[in-house]
Amino acid sequence: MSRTALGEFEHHVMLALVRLGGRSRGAPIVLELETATRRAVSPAAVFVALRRLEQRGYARSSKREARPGEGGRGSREFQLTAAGKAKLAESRRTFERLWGTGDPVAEPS
Amino acid sequence: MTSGGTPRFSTAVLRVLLPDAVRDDALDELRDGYLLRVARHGRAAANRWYRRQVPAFAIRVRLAILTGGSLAPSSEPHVPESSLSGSERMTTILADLRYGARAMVRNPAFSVIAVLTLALGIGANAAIFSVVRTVLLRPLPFPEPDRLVQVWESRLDRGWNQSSFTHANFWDVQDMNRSFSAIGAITFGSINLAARDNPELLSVAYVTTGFLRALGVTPVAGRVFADGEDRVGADQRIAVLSHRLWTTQFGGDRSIVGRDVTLGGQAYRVIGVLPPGTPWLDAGDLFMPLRRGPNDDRGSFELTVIGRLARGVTIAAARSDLNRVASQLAGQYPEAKGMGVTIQLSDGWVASDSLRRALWVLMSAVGFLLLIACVNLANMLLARSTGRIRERAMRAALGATRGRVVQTAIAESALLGVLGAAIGLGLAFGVVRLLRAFDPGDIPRLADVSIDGPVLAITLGAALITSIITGLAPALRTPYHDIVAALREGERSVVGNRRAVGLRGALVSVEVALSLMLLVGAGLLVRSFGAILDVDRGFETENRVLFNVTFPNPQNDADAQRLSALRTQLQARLEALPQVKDAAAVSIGLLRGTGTGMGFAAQDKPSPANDAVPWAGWRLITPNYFRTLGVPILAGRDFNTEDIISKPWRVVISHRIAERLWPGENAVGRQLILWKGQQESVAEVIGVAGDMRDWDLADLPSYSVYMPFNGAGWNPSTFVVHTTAAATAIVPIVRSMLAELSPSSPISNVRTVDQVVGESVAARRFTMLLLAALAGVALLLALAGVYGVLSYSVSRRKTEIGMRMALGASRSSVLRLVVSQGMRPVIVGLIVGVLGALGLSRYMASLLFGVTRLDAPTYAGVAALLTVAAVLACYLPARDAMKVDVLTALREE
Repeated sequence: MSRTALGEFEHHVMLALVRLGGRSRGAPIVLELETATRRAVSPAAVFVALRRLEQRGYARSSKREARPGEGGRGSREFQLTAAGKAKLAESRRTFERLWGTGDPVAEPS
Repeated sequence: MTSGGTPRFSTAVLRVLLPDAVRDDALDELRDGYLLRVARHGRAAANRWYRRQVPAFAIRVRLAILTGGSLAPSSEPHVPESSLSGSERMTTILADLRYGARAMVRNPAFSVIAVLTLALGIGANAAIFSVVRTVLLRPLPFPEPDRLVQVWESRLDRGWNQSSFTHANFWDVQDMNRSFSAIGAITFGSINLAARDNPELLSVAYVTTGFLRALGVTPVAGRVFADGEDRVGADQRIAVLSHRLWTTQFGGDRSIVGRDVTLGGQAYRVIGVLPPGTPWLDAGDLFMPLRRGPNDDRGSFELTVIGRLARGVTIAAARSDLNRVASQLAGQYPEAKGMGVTIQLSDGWVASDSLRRALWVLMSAVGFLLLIACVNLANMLLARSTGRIRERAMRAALGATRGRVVQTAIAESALLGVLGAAIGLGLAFGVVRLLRAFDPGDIPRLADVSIDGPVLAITLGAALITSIITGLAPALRTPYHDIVAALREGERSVVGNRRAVGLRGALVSVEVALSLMLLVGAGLLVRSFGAILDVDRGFETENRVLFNVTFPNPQNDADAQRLSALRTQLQARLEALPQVKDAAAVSIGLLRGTGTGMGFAAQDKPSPANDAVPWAGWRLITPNYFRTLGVPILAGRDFNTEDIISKPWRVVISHRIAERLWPGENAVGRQLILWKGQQESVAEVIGVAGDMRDWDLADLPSYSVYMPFNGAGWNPSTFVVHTTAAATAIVPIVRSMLAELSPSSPISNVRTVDQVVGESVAARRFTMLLLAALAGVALLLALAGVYGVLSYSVSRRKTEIGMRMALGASRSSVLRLVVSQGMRPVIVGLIVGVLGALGLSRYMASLLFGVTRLDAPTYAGVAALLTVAAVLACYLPARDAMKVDVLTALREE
């Protein structure tokens, strides 16, 4: 398992997964990120990022049947692994240590 | 996969641009995003978004793969239907089973053929496997059988690497070894049991007390022999009953223990009853102690010796220990010069090497048969699946995942498998009963063979695995990538069809190759069997009967003389009968596979010291033995009533001995050394008789030394009678003669010489018939495969054929076209099969007689048979093709 720090985008994708209840398909993550960042997000980038996260052991995926009423075929659903959650927590602590207790930069309005 | 309404052109472009591994996933995610956007922003905006993603997606994904490696999910252990709960899953399985059952009922011909095909393969396997399991795999009925060994003497200086033990050497080895927790010896005899109407001859196994102890036998009643009961002076009149004798003669009555039975005119106390089983426990009707005598010799090799290795002693250690004992004995006694020992594991106790070989050949044969059955079934399912491609495309279009489609297919084929297994087991029960009915007599434990739990389990397992694997192939051919094409074109869909046709051809090749190998094996055995029946036996069989007469066992020389006189009288009375041409007696009957032997040499031609001493079988015979069996006297004379055994030593020898010792010279009048290396008596050769294959038809004619029966107290005597008509008709006459001459002497083992010959090849016939039957079934299945594939392809090509005929193709050219198409995989199969048979036949070499394993006529004959049969199988569909009505065919289009 890679010990390298999370990339910013990967970090965002993981947080979006958390916000979506810890379990989601790719498309809702794209929307979630677009909502949060107020920018267009490339589904391809999310697609690649999710799979890289999975390869690094931070997420796992399963293909599932469409639920009744959903129509069509099911698509791949991702969720964070324990390692993924730990990584998130670790990077949050890192950020908090780096930020310290003060407020070194003024929040741009 | 559904498009979910995504812009069609963009989707198609993406599909082309995306790599295989992620295509479905990527399209799914884009579709999800598209649908969400349709809901939020409307279809037009969603369409624009979707189109924008196409190049970005393709490029990013390709780049990611280039820079960071595959994007395929790293962990695919998650079941595709993980969101289905257990009960939901169960429901789908039940639904699939119902669906499978309906499919079977809808197409009864297909289902019956498929089930029967499987049943044949499974039934044959279950039957033969149950035989192999009982005969070869079931452990010996003794505790810790891996510690049991058989021990032989060897005399490498005489070229004997395995010989029975002499009495004195056995006792010394028992005393001096440090390797065995118990060691024992066994030898055989017979004794008369006094019974009301007819005296019965019982076989006796004489064993040392260590014998049953080494085996670790626990008696079912009473006890076995105790230490010291084989010493001189111990009570001689005790016996242990075999389980068989106990149940047949004494009704399984436990109170027999401690009572006396009258055997050979004397009372013996029964001390115990053995458990049932084979080997050894059925070696005699009765077991009696084999005593250590003060004058036990080192010259005659009579004892079979087994031992139980002490815990922790390896075979190698025991071997070197016993060889130490042997060289000590060799130094001490001149008769033991050159003595060594050979030790063998108990593996071969139940089944001889050739039986072992034969059963494994049969086991492989049924394995082949099951393979052929599977191939056939796979072929049928493939053909059907091509027909049902539209159905599966429809299911896929309606959202069934690959997993669900596979599950349905497996449910269907597993149903076939279970039905096939059920019928196959029924077949197996029948086959096992048939095998037991045709018991050739020398397959141990055959009567115990049954289809039991493990056989049932393995059969069911085999059936399920087979059917699941065969069902998988068509299921995996569901056209996920071209659902639309598949839906539109249905069975004529190009998708996968070319590959399916190729696959089915390959399967036919496999079938043909496998059945050719089986046929070659069966053919080689059939030719061997013919050769063995055609072999020059050296003796005549027609109107000749053999039977044993057991006179009262002689206790002293006077008894022996009386016995000899009785024998002579019986012979004389037989010869006096009008329907008897000739009659004679011999010490050992024909084709027993075992017998008495001796080393021999010419006195006038000293052989080099290191040469192996040739070994001859010897027989005691009355005058006229040769004439009775139609064997010519080639030189000198037959015995007459004046010739008496050992006074002086006179012998008749077989032609092969004369040729070996005195090639091109007259052997009559020469001096022959008998029991070379043992007592070395010198005998005068008075005659040379024609060669006989009288030990085993598959052996070379034996070296035989004949000595006069006259004067010998040997018991029992085998009488040979040549009659003018049906030979067995004289048996009642013999009984009444014996009632006068010697009322207590039973007659046993009545067989015509033809029967004896038949019984000596019974095991071969058994193997041959079984393999031939299996090969026949295999041939039928393979032909069904060829026919099925071809008739299917003809039915698919009706239009094409109709066109050709409309355009003026002649009927014969259509015939040629179809037959040559059908024969192509057959010919490939023939070539592969011949190569396979050439390789595999080496495992059969030891079962063959009179043909080599590379026997060209067999290979050619089998290949020709298969070719002709396959052409016939091709002809039927071809004839159908020629009947194609041009207009109908074109209209169907």
